[in-house]
Amino acid sequence: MPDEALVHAVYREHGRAMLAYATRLLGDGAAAEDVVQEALIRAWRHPEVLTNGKGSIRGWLLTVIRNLVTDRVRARAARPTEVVETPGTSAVERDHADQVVTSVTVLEALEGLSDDHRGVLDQIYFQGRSLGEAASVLGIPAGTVKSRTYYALQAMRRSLSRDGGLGMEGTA
Amino acid sequence: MTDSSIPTGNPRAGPPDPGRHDPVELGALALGVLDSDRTRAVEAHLASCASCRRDLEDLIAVTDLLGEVPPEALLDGPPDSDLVLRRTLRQMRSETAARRRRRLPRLVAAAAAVVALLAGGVAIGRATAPEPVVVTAAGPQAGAVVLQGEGVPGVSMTAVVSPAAGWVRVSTNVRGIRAGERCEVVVLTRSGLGEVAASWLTSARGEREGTQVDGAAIVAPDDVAGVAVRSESGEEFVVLRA
Ligand SMILES: [Zn+2]
Repeated sequence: MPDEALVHAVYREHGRAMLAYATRLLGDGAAAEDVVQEALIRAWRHPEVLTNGKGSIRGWLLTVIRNLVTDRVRARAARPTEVVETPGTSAVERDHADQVVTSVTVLEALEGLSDDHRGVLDQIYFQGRSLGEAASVLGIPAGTVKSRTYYALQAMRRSLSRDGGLGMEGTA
Repeated sequence: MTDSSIPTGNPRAGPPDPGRHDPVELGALALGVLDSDRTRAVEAHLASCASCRRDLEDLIAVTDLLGEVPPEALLDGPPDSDLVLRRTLRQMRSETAARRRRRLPRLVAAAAAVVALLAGGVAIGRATAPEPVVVTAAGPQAGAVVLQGEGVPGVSMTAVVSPAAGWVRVSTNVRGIRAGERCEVVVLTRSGLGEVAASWLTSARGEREGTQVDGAAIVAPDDVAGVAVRSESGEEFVVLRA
């Protein structure tokens, strides 16, 4: 059953990101599980997207999740009896097409970084750690963290100007 | 690209000159994690260095774009639980079964004819993968159906489904599933659902020579669509359709 193997592989690689993202947007674990299930079913129906690179598959899946969440929030708002503002609702409201394209492209660029470079950006930008904290988590000197953030951002910049379309062209 | 410090135009050893040209600190500055002393020093340098100002602008543009990526996007691996995967696979199976039923009413009728024939104990022949063939109504149990066939490469199963009053007994022999797998025998219904009839842990010997596992499931005999073996996490090893 190649279909099932495909969905297995997607779940193994992206399931955690999908569920965590949906849970934050919806603020509701059960609803998040429904949304992830629906996103997996869409991946099953569109196996062609799964032939792309990892960053772009992840971007596609998270985009599908965001759209599904948006639909749910709208449907909920349309029924006055069920207007329950969850903490995550506001995160969905800034949904628009440009942003989706951007996050897929940026994810691809992140995916193209070396593990070392992605690691420091993860610690500093996404986990919000200081240079010193990141240094002790990663087990490297703070000076190395500092220089890696520079080279990682430079590599991102090169990759994003190459792709173009994100307002990064001409900045090199 | 290297992570070691790059030449800074100031080959002297010793404490850094606060005004020197050292773009490496611009990354930390753009990310807002440079300490206040160094921030002041770099800002003083920026006032007199157009190259660093451009560099910093670009890096800040990159960090703005990073803001488009949800932090969860960097999480790897599966969630803590397989629940959603199991539910998804169940939905896929039931949709696939529904499609198959719509598409193949004639084949279902043909299979029913084969089963009827087998009630007389006629052997049809050996199964070839992936289509299982109903082989024989072996054993004393009237109306028992034997399914035999292969699943994922290396895995084969023989399953005997014997009708009872509103439920079925299932006797399976499964070979080729790697040792250590936690497996379930599932009786599939015509509506695409599955009822677990038994579960076991595959041994090395079971992998080589086959594991005999018997069970039962509350599925009406005429509602049995097949027998499957899955891992506990929903991975399908073999499905034989009745
Ligand atoms: Zn400079």
